[in-house]
Amino acid sequence: MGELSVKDTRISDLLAAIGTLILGIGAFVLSSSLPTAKIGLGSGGFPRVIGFCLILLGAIQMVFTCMKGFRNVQVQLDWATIRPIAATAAIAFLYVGLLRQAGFLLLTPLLLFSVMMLFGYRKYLSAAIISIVTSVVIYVLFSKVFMIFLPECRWF
Amino acid sequence: MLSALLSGFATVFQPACFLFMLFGVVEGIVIGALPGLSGSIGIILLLPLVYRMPSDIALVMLCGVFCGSMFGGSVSAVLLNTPGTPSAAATLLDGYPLAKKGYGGKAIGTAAIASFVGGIISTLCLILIAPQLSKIALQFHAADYFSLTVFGLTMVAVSSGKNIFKGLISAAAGLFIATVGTDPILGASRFTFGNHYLMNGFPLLPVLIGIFAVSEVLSQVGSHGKDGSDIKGKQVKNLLPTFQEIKSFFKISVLGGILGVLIGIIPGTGGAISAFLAYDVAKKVSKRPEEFGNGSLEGIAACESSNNGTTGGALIPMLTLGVPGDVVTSVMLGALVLIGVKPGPLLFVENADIVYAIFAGMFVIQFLMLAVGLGFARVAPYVLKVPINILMPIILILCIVGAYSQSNQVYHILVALIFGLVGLFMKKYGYPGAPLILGIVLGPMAEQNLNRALQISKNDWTILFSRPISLAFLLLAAVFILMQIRSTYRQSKAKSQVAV
Repeated sequence: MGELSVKDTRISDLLAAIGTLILGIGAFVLSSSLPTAKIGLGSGGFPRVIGFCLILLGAIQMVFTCMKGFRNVQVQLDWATIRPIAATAAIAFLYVGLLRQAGFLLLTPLLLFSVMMLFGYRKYLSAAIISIVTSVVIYVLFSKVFMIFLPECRWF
Repeated sequence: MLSALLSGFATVFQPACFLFMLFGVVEGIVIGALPGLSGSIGIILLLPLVYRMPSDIALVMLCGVFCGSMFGGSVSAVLLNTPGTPSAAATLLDGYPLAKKGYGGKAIGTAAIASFVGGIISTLCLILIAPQLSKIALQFHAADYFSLTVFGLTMVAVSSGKNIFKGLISAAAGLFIATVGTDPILGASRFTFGNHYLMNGFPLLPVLIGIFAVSEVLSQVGSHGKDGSDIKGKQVKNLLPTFQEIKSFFKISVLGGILGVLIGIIPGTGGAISAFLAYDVAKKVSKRPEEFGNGSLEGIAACESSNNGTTGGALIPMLTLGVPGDVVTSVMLGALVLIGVKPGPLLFVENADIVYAIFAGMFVIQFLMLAVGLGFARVAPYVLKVPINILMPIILILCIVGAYSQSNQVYHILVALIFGLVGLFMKKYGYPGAPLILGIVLGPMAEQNLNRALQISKNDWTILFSRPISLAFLLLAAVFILMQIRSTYRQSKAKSQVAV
């Protein structure tokens, strides 16, 4: 499996530790404004406990990562790995954005075809056939057999 | 108990239940055989269907996927030298050498028979141990339950990844995600920021789909499907070992099965650990240890009976205590919650029919797995030829439909995609997904029990340490954390010495 963005996990570990600290502080601060109870946890008690745990774990992770040092750490973006992931995610988000209007049957073959291309499948005709047939089979299976009604096209 | 078990068998042999169970076994074997897909993904892909089914049928089908995927992993381990699931990693040590000698069929046949033996032993243990453990668990106090949750989460967090703190961060993040939405104590909105979608919290099914399945698709597209299988024209013949051969590995299979159950009961472990342990033990007790690593049937039998032995073992803490034994049972726990069945000791009182249907189903599943497994071995080379660059996009579509289907909301697809990206980051940088899911599932239970314990003790937090059971769970959790830190420290010290 290729590296996502950096050659060394120290940078990502540090970023994750900072993220954990921020999440913990956020949970701790925001939960202090929640209703309290005379006996028991109230609404904010449990998130405060978790916030404290997150702060503690984030701090430990940060200390351990810093102890390893950052000398010779090279940040190299592996675009060959990032590009197809970003493209797949972007296409999937676009699909979600258009699904209510364009409907499942119109959009899904396009999504399937484009993700197959991103996976490096280069037999265009068979990719198109597989995309259409699979989408129709899933649509019929879910709509007619499982009675799960997938979004319909609003344009036609 | 016997009449309840007979009633369970009556449920299991109803045509609908039997067909769905068979479907579960077939799906589990196929998914398990495909490298990159595991039993947890097999279960997740079926989740859109389960909450439209009667609970007993749904759970028996998921048990079929669980057991089937354990065996399925061995097929690709033997034929491709790539384990379909982590549990089959030890199987390839002897399976692939046998396949290279032209005895791939015999290796798969041995795996199927040993899986059957391990599965039957684990089912017997499940039936005998689970009801007794649930009786003990009924005596638990709220403080004990809270500490049990902490123990279960710690075990899964500690054993899921290489870095203990990453596992614990993952578990704590899961607990935090569980707090989003309307709180179960006073009904106030927490961390919703006025977004009405978040009032009910993050929906479990899309989160599960995102963390385990969407992240796998994104991970594979990042590696351009290179993790996929490549099998060309292998034929599988002569599946059944001879009577003498079966006799030679039968004892090892029984031993592996028992070891598997014992390992499976411990929360946070699983098939991979038990298979390697059983392999090691089998090598020590075998009369032909020199054959291990060169195509030993005993080696295959030890691994496969052991990893199937963990199935029943892992179900014991999940059903009786609500704490899963491994990653797949973590996902199954999520499925139970989705169906509306509350795992724990009360399950044996309130839903005894479901519990005994699972027990009976586990028995029948082993027979189905043996029959389907031997049949599947013949078509496996063709199934394993399906290119990953066609399979993965189709799985992405099934994920999308699965996320949408729970409540017909496009928002749920969005949640699955966002958690897919989160899962991808976690996978790439060593943050295990199982503790996060377990945190989300067990979070509400932990909060309610801690609240109840504090109400009983009038805000005295020492109640967690004054009750013996609660104290024992907390001490065990602390001991496991310290042991893991010590082992990590020793490993890093050894590495630095090698580097010098």
